[in-house]
Amino acid sequence: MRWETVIGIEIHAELLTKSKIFCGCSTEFGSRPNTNTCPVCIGLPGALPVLNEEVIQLALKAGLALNCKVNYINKMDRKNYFYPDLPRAYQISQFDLPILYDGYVEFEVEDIIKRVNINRIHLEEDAGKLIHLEDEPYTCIDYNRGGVPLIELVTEPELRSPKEAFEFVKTIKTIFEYVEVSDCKMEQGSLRFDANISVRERGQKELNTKVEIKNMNSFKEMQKALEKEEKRQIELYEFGEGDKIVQETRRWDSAKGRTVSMRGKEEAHDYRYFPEPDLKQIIISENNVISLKKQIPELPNEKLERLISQYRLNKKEMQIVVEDKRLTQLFEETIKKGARADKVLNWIIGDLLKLMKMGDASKNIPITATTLAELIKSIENGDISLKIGREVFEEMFETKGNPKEIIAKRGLVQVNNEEELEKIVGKVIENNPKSVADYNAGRKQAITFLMGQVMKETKGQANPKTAMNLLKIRLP
Amino acid sequence: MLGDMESAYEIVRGIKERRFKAEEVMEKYLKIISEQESRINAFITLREKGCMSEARMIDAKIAKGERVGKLAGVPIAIKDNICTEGIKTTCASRMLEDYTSPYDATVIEKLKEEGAIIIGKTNMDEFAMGSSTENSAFKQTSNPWELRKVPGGSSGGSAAAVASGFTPLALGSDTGGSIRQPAAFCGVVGLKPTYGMVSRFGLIAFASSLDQVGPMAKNVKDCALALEILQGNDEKDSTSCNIKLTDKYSLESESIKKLRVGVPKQYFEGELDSEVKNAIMKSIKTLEKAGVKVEEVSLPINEEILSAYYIISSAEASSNLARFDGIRYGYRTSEYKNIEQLITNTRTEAFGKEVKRRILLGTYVLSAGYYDAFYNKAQKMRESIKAGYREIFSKYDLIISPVAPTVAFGKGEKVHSSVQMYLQDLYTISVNLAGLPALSMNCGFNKKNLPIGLQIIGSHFSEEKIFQLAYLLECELDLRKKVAL
Amino acid sequence: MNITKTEVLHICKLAKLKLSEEELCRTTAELEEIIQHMKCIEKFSFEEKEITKANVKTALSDGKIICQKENITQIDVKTQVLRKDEVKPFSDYEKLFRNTRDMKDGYIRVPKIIE
Repeated sequence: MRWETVIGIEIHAELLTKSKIFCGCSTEFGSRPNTNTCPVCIGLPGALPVLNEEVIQLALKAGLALNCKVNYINKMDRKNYFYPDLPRAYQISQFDLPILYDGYVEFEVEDIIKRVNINRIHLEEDAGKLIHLEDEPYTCIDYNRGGVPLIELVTEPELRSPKEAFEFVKTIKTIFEYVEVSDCKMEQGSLRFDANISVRERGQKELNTKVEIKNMNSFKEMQKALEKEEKRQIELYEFGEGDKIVQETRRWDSAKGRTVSMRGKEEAHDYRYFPEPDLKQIIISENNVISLKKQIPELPNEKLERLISQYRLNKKEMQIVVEDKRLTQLFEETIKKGARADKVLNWIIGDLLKLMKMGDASKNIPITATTLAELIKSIENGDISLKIGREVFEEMFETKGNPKEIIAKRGLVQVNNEEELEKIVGKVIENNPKSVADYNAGRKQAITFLMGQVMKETKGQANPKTAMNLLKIRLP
Repeated sequence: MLGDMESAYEIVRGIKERRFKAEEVMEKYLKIISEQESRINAFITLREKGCMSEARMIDAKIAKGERVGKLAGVPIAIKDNICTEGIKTTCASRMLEDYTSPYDATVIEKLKEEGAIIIGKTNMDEFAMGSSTENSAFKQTSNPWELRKVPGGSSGGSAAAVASGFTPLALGSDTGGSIRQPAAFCGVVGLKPTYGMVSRFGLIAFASSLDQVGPMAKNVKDCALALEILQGNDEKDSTSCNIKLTDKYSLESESIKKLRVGVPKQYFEGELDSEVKNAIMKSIKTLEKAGVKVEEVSLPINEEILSAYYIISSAEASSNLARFDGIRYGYRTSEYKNIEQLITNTRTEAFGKEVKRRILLGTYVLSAGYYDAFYNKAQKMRESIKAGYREIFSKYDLIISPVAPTVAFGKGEKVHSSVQMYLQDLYTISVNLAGLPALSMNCGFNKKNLPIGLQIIGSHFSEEKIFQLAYLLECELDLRKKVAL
Repeated sequence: MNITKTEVLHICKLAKLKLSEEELCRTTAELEEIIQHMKCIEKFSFEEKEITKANVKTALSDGKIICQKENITQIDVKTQVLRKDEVKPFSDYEKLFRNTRDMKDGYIRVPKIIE
């Protein structure tokens, strides 16, 4: 391993506010184009920004969850550049005094705890959206997203592999979901990330030329893009063509599976930052920070540790649950309703995840703690078999139904009545003399076949324990 | 001519007492405008029909005994950089030649609520950048006292309109003297309020940290009346003040004789025209005779202040004017093949020379490598100016100074040198940098019968004291016999 | 020489303005003159305590602190102006875009941008 990869990440997350950062327009996704706009967010002459107080609170929550320090006095600045998605031709952002700085986050990569320092988190407004038409010579602009509040998080260049970058971004997403600062919907652009990557010889102190990669739309894509770029750089160094690596922005083309230089767009960037004169400085009181700290919920890492030791569960499986806030909530609440932790975990890891992956995984989970707890109870009570339970679960997932109603409606209640079962067992033994003979000859697995026949006769509703006992009694 | 319809105060009283109708008032003013506007060119947009129907509505309300506002039936002219819904707002620029704002500026809402009637939008230097109104893309306004002279700027149209008797009241905006210098040149009263006193929402920004909307009027009383309506916190403007303000300014006060007035000696050295100097000195003597305590003070006036002003104002302007890119509103070039050309050609074709000069200057001082040398230094300079004023206002209540180094100059006289034009602002800009209130009023005339202005500067939110001293001086000098035109 | 033609061209590019050759010469000379005057500010010395970033970060006990740093002076929590997080849509959508030249299906159109 001659080469060492150095990666730094920038994450943009849209904050979960009702209204935009500087005006009263809605932040709702998917509205008709340009309908969530007003003089302020389309930059009409004379209109002035007024800061949304919730933006500060959400940013602080995010930062405190990531162990950041607070700049009790900070300010907004103007970042000046022309682009049609930026209505005032300046973005209101933060330059030398970000609201939060010097944080860190810890996560596990291949069983080793990795700590990555966070350089800063600052506030800014989102830009509008450009839609480039395929067949017409136009670009269409929709300013609905313009002015939606964002936090930008910048790490130190401390990630050492695309895999680490992947784990890092996943961790941040989960934390943001836990503290409810962003809905982190990547498909709606409410969580986006760029990465800076360079490669150097192991042991070398200074950093080599870095390349910025944009347009990575999912965690997996990001990892792929970084692996591709890592390989490209290493190859160039190995062929003695390191000078071909220039500081530039490259766009990830996921269809072609490669990064493409965006040099055409690169101009001399000189953002001419200066303090935003239309806004006063932001002052944060200590009491505000103290009370927010108290509101920070148990974070994924702590939760994982606690749940594992409390219920003695499989770490890998529990990790999958903890990474998704919705699953975690379902898990904990179902337990509160009296279900056993290992059972709940099995349902979530097995059936629920499988069903979720078949559809749109980002959709709301149709299973509630109440319905899942009921289902588990029905199985434990012997009302239905585990196999029937799976069918019921599937229907619960599709119809958001209640297990009791589904069982009743479909007449799935287990046959527990010994008299009735005895008749069926008798019939099966009568009809399958060969298997009975096999069993009697010592091939004990033949009982499985007979059991299957009992189930077939009862359409799966026979209580397996009772049926098995009866079989064993009847077969000498 | 106008008789007791000359002042806003008298108009409101006359209408409310039913001595005359709002309709008659409006008719009289529109008549004067129709007779004289072609010589003065004070307006970019005139609004005749709408005014008459609004005046009749006021009359109807009075006839029914309904409540009417504090400015019921008073005509008012608005500088064309203040947004008015339904009436074009051009900033005297090709860029906004056809622009109509979808909303009213907060000050316009307030004026409408109190029954004032907008008669038109006045000419100005393009985007308020200038000191003579010669930078208008549309027309040249004349000084009503002598048509070959400029009315001052950038609120030259508003000043000329008041001086010509086109309107008893006008709104201007002041970034470095743009209300006070034209008020001085045209012999009217103009106030630049404390920064934050009047909402900037709807004022098309030149330099956000310096801009302030203010009233221009025939006399101090009207000016105070207008401020009572304009002032106050606005939740749409984060820089507007949030303190309790008086809702009625009292102009006469016994305590006026206890006021300590400072006269900065540096302001009377160097560039100042001797006739201007003499007129101000005479006024000071008059005040002393009336019992006001006046003392000489030291307040530096230097090129550094001018530099700080031009650095900060141009930097902010370069950013404020970046939004004019031809995409969402305003002028759009017809010569473009791509987005780059659309933006660049639009801006190149639609901005005037002075505007471009300031944008380039502002871009330069903010650009990498120069920020510390210019912008940062200018901000520090600004702090030291504030400190200088704080020091003076710890000992004195008010300051008296000139407004401009000369009386109104000739059209075309200074257009060739930016630096010469910038020197016009020498006595007014430090007030903007410090966010202080200052009033400009007529204090006499030179031999050629051109008005001479005098400036009264106060500490933050000391408008009442300023009005009191100005009112005292106005009464003592009694110059209102003279009329322009 | 404070400013060169090349610099002026660079600034023009940042500001999205175009100058003809003749305008470039004249503008360079004008800016040269103005900047010459402005340079006086560089020499001006300011009495100031160097205030470090760390100082700004000092916690403040619920609002009362006076501290200075670059463009931040005289802090007072009460002067803060913040907006409640409430949706208040603009009243008149039609008027909002009445000055827009090229709109189709609710979108504003510009020549195609190649990214």
